[in-house]
Amino acid sequence: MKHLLTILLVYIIIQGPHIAIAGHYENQVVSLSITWQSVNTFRPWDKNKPGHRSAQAIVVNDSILLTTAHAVSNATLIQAKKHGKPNRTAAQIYHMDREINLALLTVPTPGFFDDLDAATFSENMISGGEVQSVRWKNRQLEVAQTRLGRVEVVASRTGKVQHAVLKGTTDLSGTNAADPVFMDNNLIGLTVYHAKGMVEILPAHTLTAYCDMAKSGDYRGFATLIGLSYQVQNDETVGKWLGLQGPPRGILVRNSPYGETGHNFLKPLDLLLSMDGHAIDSQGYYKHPHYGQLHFFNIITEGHRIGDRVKVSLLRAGNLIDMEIPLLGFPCKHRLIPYWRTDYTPAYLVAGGLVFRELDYNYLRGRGKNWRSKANTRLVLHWDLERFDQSPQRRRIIILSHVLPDTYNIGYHDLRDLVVQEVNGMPVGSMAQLQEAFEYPREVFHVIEFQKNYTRDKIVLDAGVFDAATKRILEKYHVPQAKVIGKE
Amino acid sequence: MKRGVSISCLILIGLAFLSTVAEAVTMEASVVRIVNHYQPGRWDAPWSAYSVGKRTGSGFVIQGGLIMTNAHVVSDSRMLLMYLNNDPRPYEATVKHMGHDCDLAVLEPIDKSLLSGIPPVKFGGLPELRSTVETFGYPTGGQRISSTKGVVSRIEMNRYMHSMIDYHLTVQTDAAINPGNSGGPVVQKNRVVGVAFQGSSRLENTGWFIPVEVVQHFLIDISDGAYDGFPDLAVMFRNMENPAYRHYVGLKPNQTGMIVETVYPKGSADGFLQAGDVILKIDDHNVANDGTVALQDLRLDAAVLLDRKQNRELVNLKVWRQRKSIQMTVPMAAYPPLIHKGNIYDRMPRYFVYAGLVFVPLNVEILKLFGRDWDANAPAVLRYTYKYKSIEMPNHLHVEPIVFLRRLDHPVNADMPNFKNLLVQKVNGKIIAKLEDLVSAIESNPGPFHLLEFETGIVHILDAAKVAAANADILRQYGIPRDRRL
Repeated sequence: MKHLLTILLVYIIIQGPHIAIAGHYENQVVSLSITWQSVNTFRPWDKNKPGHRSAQAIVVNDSILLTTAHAVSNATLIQAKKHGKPNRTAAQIYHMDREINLALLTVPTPGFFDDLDAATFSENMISGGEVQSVRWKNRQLEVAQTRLGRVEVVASRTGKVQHAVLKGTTDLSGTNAADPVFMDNNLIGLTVYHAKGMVEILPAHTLTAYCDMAKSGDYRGFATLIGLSYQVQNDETVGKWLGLQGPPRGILVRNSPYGETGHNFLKPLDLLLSMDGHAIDSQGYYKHPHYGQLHFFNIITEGHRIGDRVKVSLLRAGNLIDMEIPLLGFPCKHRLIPYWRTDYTPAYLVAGGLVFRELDYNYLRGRGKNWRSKANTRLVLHWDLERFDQSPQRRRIIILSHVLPDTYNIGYHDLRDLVVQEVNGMPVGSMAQLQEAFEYPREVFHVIEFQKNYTRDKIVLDAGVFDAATKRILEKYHVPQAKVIGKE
Repeated sequence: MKRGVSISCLILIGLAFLSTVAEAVTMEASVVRIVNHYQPGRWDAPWSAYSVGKRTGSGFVIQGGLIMTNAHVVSDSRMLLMYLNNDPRPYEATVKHMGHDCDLAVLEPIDKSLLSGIPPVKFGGLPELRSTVETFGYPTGGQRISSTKGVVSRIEMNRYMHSMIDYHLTVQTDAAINPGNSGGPVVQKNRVVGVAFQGSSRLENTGWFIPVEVVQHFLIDISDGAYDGFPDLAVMFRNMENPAYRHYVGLKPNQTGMIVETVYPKGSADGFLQAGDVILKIDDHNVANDGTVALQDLRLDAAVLLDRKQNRELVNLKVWRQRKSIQMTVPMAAYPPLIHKGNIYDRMPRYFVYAGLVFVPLNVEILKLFGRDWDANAPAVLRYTYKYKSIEMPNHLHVEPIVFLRRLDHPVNADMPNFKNLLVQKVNGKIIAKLEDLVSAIESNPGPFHLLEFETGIVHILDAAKVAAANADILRQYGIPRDRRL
């Protein structure tokens, strides 16, 4: 009997705080049920079968929920559930930034927030120790231990802003579900990546910065240096060659693409020595006051917004130069090949049965897990080598995706994945240019020229019957709309 | 009378049977087993070679006391042995002529009189579709000669896997062509109608043999004592099946042909054909809109007509240019830049080692270092440069791209960023278009530093004096006999 009491006492000691903490969290964490549907990347006029996912959200104040952009991407219906009850209440996206992977939701139903409490965001920068990950599951609040190991700078999962994340392991099962993470009843972050027990947590100071910016009415977004290519240099010979005094330090700039923060300021072979007063070492790291050594990309994400100016010191051709650089974002619209996009219909045009569209990551990734092997190898190489290289003349890579076969386009039925260079003598660097070029046939022909390839460089269509053929083909293949051109 | 007819038929059938048996016995005497102890160069450590391997194949006796076989049976050979039918003794042989582009080779026994008692085979022609052929050879699974029968199921231009880049006429059959059959004769009516050369692991009962037309081309080519290879117009043709395209170039309704999209620099057709020309006729054969020609009862890719030419032979082309028909005669020649895109055999790798940095020319053997799926896994710049750059920029075919393959760690280079597999763009400000350029750019630089610039914007700086002092030490440490093979 005594033995049993001891076991019970130990159980209470272990479970007691857990239960108490769970009781505290259940008013701050809401579960989300999301129905989503993406566009069919190869038939962009079609949508794929709807899917369903669950996620968590944290109560920010008496009318706003915070979750990840990933959780609510491609959503057709978002429903919020609280206190583990089955009742669902429709929620709406109030603000979303895929670049940093965060979203704010509102719940229009009056009284939804009445029995909920806003979470307290931690003001400390936590980088280690044991914390609690929280999730509603089967109508109960599951609280699991998570062990923080280190802080790293990574690219956002849905966008490409580089930011600090807390990395650790968790006892919570499952995958990406925007699980809130607490320490001492304070929110220390939101899980932005979760697989095989490994988690990445976006820290509270970034969540606060996002929420404050979104609520301010002046949302500028987070700046990024992604796209800047550089090489680390630990070689004294390089320092001597550059005219650097002292031991190796700083990183050697290779390229800063059009549209990116450094484009008009940094040059190849500049040795970037410091940013915002932080010395950059020869491996591209700086000393963060709380997190220790971090990659220097974090300097401009943390504490800065797009439009801020950051001080930079560099060595150029043996001369020390100080300059101020205005910070930019580097969103999809500035990429030659946009990365993963959600909540969008890709720009496409069906002309004479030829299906044209922008090349983007979705198109390549649409080939499945082994997309690098399965997608057209030349298109994969465009992604590998040129995805950042937009220019005013070449906003996008436009491809002939495939052909909807018809007598009108006979001889071209097997063409696919060809990069369009010119149509009717006009260079094509955007869908808008493509559409316009079809308005100016060469006499009675449409002449389409592709980047030289192994299949075919040039095709010709009869412009006289082009409209009628296009209409017929659209009907034959059940294409409801000949084009979506888009704004980017 | 009736009985007399029956007896006559039986006798005829019997004679035919005996004749067939005698023919098979004669053919078997001409078929040899070949054992190749081979050793290819090592592309990841280009100063050395891989360990020795053993490969077996078949061959057959041709005129002149020689043996015909496949190039892939005898490539990279260090020692060649052959075994005659029912003779257990090995006989040494050497490669007399090698055609990697058509996967054919001719061997000569060291004992030149060895084959004097064996009748050389007689060659036939192109077998008819659906006719029966018999293969002879020494496939794996036994030491004795084996023969199998099959039907000719398809005749068309196809890729020759030995080089990976050449297309010639092939005959497809369902006769079993297994490893070891390669190089053996394919026979019909006691005449050799082809050389067995490749099968498919993905298709059942499907093998291919090289038809006599290709074999004869090879034999004629080597008759002057040297193999020059198949000539190539070095032109990219496309079909003209779309009526709007034919209308666009002004072809009349009764005219057909294929359009020229690219004329490669310094190729046979350079200075003759132009992009936008339509080839209406090759010699006397009309070219169809799908790029085929009618030959005997077959419809084959028009390139088969060009394949029939020897180097320096002329081809007559009827061409539609700017809405007019013109006639031209083009002297044919092999096109080495394309040949160099294929698999490499019988050549040790070229390289240069400086400061522990290993430089090699980019070729498919380098890409194969990244595994079977190199097309997805090799570094993007290398894949692009090898596979697409010369298609998109034809002049680049004449450039030998140089790869910084790896670093052999040494104090003189240990602080450099550990990049590898980079494409060299410039050294000391000089553009690198071949391995010799790189050597010259380094060795002719009197300055204290060497600046190496790579395709992706990466740079390496070397202290010339320190490297000069370290070079010999690096070679010794890593067991490299010479710093270069150019």
